Amino acid sequence: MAASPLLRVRDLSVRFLSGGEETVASSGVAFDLAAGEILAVVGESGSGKSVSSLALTRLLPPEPACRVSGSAVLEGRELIGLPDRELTQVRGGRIAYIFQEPGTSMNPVYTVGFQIAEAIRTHRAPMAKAAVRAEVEASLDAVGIREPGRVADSYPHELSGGMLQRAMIAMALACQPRLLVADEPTTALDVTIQKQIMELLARIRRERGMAILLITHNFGIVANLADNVLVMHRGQVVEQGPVARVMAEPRHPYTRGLIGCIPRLGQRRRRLPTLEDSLRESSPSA
Amino acid sequence: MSDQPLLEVRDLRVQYPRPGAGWFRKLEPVRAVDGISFSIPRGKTVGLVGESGSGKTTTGRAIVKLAPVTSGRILWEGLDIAPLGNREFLPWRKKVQMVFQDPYGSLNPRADILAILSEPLEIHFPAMGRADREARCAELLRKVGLSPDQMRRHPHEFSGGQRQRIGIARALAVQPELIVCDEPVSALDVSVQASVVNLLQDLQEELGVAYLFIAHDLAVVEHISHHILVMERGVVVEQGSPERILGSPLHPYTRTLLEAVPRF
Repeated sequence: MAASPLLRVRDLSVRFLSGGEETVASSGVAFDLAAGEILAVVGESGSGKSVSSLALTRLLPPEPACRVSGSAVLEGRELIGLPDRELTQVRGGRIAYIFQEPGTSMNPVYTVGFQIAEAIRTHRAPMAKAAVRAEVEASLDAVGIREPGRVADSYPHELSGGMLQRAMIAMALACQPRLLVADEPTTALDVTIQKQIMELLARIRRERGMAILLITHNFGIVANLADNVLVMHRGQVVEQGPVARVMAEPRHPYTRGLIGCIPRLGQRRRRLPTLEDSLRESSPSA
Repeated sequence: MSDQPLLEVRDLRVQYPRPGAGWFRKLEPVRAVDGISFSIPRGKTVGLVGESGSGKTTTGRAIVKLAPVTSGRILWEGLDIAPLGNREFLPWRKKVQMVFQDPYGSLNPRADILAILSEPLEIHFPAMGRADREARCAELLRKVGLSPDQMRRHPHEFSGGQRQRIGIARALAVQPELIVCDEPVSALDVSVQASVVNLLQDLQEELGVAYLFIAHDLAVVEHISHHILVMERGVVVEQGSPERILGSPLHPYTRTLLEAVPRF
């Protein structure tokens, strides 16, 4: 592995202040992410996994409602505390995001092509209109969309969920970021489309050497796509390591619970083990 | 068990006019459900898998009369309920209830839990007094693993999994014999999903209620179902026991669905 990772996160904490009460959304998060690595962040709703990834580029409410502390160094540059103007360049330019609901991540009144073009104009060297259009179609083509021209001229509501998620990925890739943050990218999609999107992410990593931070609650997806995994519970990292090791011998009871509660094909059990079961078993007082 | 299933669907079709069609512009209707047949035995779970647009949700909605039946028969213990008007159907509404996918959108945000659970009781048991209704609601909440103290709270004070439990309690309120569960766990975290699936199974054991369990995730459907239907483009392409569907899927679409489930 290279001497310095693409992204180095240390002691990252996010606190929300509301009505005089402080809520710690995540604390002490630390990890390294190498170029071309897929790191999965796994946890339930409210575990702090999304908030931690949004904190990287401060896609969060402003101070004092939300306080981000710690350090996140991307290619040698500290991101935490970076002024807004510089953050805008990082957002989309160096770190791109795709979200769970492709339908709500796009602006409904502009065509898909217009929105991808906007991202290109914002983050890349100035180019002629025709060149931008060519880039838009090339980026749609790169994510496996068969008729890039037609899709570019479509409005978001005219496309299916899987198609829209591809278009979102195309938009994210158009700016040639170093890191793609995929926040539950397949949760809202059908299983067969889910598989296609996962294959697409794997291909992007392979072809472009892009690092991916994959946020999910589903270990099934992690097992098939990620190199390393970070398990979050109540704002803290409870376990991290290579996927194969964590899946084969999870050390933390919470990790065991998350892996165990997924129904698996061909392994009918009378009951599905729940998280409470595995947490109860491990607590000595019970 | 008697030979007669609780519910039998024969050659069910649901068609919608295609958008843009009018008096002068005749277009082929959209065939959401195109001639399907299956039956649901008393106290058992029939799983219905398929992707968006396969017609699985429409099938479930047709059974509870939330979608218009174009043709075909829906036999409830041998009696055809498809042609009944809304008023005549009322006694059956009590027997067939529904749990919806979106635990956020399917509960009235301005009503408290007591009001949400009372509404079906007021309609189907008009003779029931206020105190009895409250006692029934407390019992329902306990049944689904919530505390009766939470009766005065509103939906936004609950998590997604808790809201889905409230949705299940509402369906159970009128003591139905069949519950159509339309993607009841798809919107939930995997950990919460497991506990809701377990709850549904416990309730079936305790109350003998039958389920039509609609989902796109074959692993969940396999876990909970006694019989599985696979739908694609409005037709059932394959049906059988979970062991058979998994062990030797016959239809290519079933194989595609099986391959798409992440394995580890």
